[in-house]
Amino acid sequence: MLTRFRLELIACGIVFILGGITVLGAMEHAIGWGDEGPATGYFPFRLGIVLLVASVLIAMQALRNRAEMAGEVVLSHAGARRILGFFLPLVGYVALAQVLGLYVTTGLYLLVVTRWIGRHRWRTCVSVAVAVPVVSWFLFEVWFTVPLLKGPVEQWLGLA
Amino acid sequence: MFTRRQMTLATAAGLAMPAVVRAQTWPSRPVTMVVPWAAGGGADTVTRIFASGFEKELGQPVNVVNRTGGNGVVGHAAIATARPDGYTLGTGTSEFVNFKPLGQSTIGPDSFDLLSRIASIPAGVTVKADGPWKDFAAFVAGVKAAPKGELTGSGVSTGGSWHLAAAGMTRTLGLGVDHIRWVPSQGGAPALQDMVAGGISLFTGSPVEAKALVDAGQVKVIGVMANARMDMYPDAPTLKEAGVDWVFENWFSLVAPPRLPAAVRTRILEAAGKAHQSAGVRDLMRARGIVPIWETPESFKAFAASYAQTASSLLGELGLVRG
Amino acid sequence: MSNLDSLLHGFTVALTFHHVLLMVAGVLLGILVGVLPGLGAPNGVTLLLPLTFSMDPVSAIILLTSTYWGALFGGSTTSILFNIPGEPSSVATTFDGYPMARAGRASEALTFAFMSAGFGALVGVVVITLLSGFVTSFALRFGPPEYFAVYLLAFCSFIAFGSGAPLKTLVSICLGFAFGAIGMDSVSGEMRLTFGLDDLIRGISFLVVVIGLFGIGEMLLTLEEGLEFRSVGGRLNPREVLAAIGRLPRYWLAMLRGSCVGVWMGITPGGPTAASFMSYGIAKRMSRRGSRFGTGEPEGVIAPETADHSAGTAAMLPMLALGIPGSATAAVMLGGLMIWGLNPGPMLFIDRADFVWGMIASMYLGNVVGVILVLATVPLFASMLSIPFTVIGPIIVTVCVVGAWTVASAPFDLWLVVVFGITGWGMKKLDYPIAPLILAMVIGDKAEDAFRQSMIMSQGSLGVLWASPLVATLSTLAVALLLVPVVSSFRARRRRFRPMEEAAPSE
Repeated sequence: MLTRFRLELIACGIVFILGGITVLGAMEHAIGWGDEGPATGYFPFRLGIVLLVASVLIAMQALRNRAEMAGEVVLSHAGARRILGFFLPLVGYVALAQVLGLYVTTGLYLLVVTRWIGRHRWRTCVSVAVAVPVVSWFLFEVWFTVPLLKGPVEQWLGLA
Repeated sequence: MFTRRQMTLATAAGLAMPAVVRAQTWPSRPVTMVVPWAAGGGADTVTRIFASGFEKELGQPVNVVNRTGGNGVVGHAAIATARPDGYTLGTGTSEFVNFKPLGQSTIGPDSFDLLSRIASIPAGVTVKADGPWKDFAAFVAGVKAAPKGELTGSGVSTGGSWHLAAAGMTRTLGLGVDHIRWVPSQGGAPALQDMVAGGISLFTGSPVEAKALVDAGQVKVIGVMANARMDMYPDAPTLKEAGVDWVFENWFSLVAPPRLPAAVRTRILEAAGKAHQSAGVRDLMRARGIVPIWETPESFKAFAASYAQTASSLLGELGLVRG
Repeated sequence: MSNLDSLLHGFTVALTFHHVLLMVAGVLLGILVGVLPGLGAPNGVTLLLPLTFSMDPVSAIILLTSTYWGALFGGSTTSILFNIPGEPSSVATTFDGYPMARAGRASEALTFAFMSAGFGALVGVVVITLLSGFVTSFALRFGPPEYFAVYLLAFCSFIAFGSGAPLKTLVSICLGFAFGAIGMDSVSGEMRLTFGLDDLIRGISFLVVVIGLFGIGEMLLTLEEGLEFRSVGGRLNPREVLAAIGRLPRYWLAMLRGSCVGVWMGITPGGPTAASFMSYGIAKRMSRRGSRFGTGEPEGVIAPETADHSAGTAAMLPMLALGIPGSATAAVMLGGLMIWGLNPGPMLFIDRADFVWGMIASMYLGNVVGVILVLATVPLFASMLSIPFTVIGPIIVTVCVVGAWTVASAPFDLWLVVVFGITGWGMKKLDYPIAPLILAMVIGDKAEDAFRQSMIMSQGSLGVLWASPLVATLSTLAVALLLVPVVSSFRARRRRFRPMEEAAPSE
């Protein structure tokens, strides 16, 4: 169960880190204002500083409103379960696609999600899981000639 | 009956068959040509013209794919690291010899199988039509008289091909590589626009890009950095004619990832050569003011090496070398 | 006027059965490309280029421009129905279009979007027709200082510091600028913020960020809050469409304003995406219904749509007349012109008047065809809303992921989509505004380049931004737009305090 207060602080932390990274990255270049105008790192440096300062200020604001924010639930258990049910398959999809290629993984992803989460009939699940990759193949490979990521299955079939 | 081992071997052989058959009949599916620049630009146009002839020779479609970013690094990296099976080729542009010196990437001429140049586009000197210089001689006098940094040039980003063109020109005039202050731009069109708006003094990019504005009477081409006059601008002398021994031509080439199978490589060179000599391709190029070039891989390698030397010496003097 | 004569002649060139067929085919393809996130008008146009080798130039350009209009229309469709902009120029349409759809007014939103888009496009073409000479000479007065001022103006007209949480808006903007800065810096040729990672050399693609923030982020939010896509009367009632068309004239001022902004940004050229943001920002400030923007106010759909379409059409003129492309798609078409052996420039208007005026005439027709076709597709898309979420949701996810791949064929981008998906959820939960981040990414890098180029020209002096009357006007307007809301909100806060001060002494 995530309260608003905790999420605000997490966000401030992330922004602070991003700001710090930006400042460090900027310092790899010149950060001053020469007679050719601002140097390469000039703007990134200042952006990073603004991010650092702003994140601290926002955190302070959150601390001031701590009571009110700690009471506000931003992610309930039920909500978290619903999100994970969506998010974990998505991560799996992206990871697996790099091994098996986008077409095959799309089919697997759709099959798994429509069946196990959507609880639809096998017929629906399989037809969706087959139709979408096939249509995409025609759309992207053949028609648009924008090749998508392929994997061992396509190679074996001689299509890649 | 067959032993298990024999069955396994037979299955493996059966599965490998498609791969074996494919190698023997290249190309058995469409070929991809990677262009490291945006669609619609010079490299893209040259590639499409070439591809149209190439696919006729190969009997398979040739798909032109744009992989932009990092001033050419992304696309060139994509070509260099592609599988060397002959199905991914690319258009290498002159920038790739400068990635290492500029500290942008470790990719260089040895990262590719250099097949041949396809086209060359000479630089030129383009100025405002109502500007102070009537012709190239007046321009030279003006440049020599102006203090360092007073005149500005543009056409490409810092360290890019047209920047080197300007730097080499002033160096040949005995004035030092940064006599003309370089204002980087994102390509030729914005630089030309900037010049007409009065922001910069000259444009050292390809005169072909200036055609529209020349016709509109806004700019004029007073010299070309080539070995011969351009058909498009018969009145513009070459720098050599005007006594300045400096030639600068940006070039596009056909390259492939290294270690192609010998048979595939021969086939590529043969088909590409025929495509390049075809009237269709040549006419389209010439009409665009592009000079078609075709040579052997060896001569291209030698050219690339000598170009790399000139470029890195200019970059060094400009203080841009970082790697 | 001779321009009108030429135009009439152009109509005779353009109005053949063959050409109308090409318009239909182009628009349909464009809609398809526009609907798919990651793919956009530049892809569609690039795809058709090889086909055009064998066509005559007039047919070829008709096909390409029709695809462009179709893509612009298509992008708005998914913006409204699914909160996923199919095109960068449709991002601003999500702000009010999606709330309208969720409130059950999808058909109305779509109709308003398409009709106002058609209006904007027509205004753009009319401007090209009547003012071509003036426009081209105007476009030539823009150098880096002017470009910077244009971007600054677009930015300031959208960002309002007076309202909302200013610190969080600031963070969004700075993050957007920082993301935009990653990659090669074209002014110095150095790699910025890449930390040696090859994947960052390209920078972070704005398309990928949009897919993650809007596509995945929105879905995470919907799921987590337990809502589903309200199945919104899947069948389209043609009467609803006609009724919406009838209500449109009430918004004539918004449409006109949006078109002006769009034409301006198409010519200068800021581009259709920046145009849509700028138009939204200006409409929000100037309209009486401004406070309702973001909750499903029709004007919030009309303003960006008219602007991005009129920018798209207006951008054709600098491309034809000067060889200066005002958008990525125009750049591809410029390449096409080269391939067909045509030289952009005033000679084109003289030597190949047929081509030029045929193309301009086709822009009128193409947009009419476009509006009719998209209105016809509205029932198809609206019916998608009635597919159960557990089927359409995963399909949308796959479309998003595949779309992210088409941008640069990089596995890194797929992970970016996932990361920005979570980020989008978090930002919505904590009221960090997303739109400023997007706008900062779109124009941040270009604005910085323009600024630094100006500084190189002026050798570090800021005065160059007020050097010519044109740039001075733009710069001043931009600063004014930025400061006015800050000043007025400051005043409002002081007014609130004063009554308390007056009450105290009497105690």
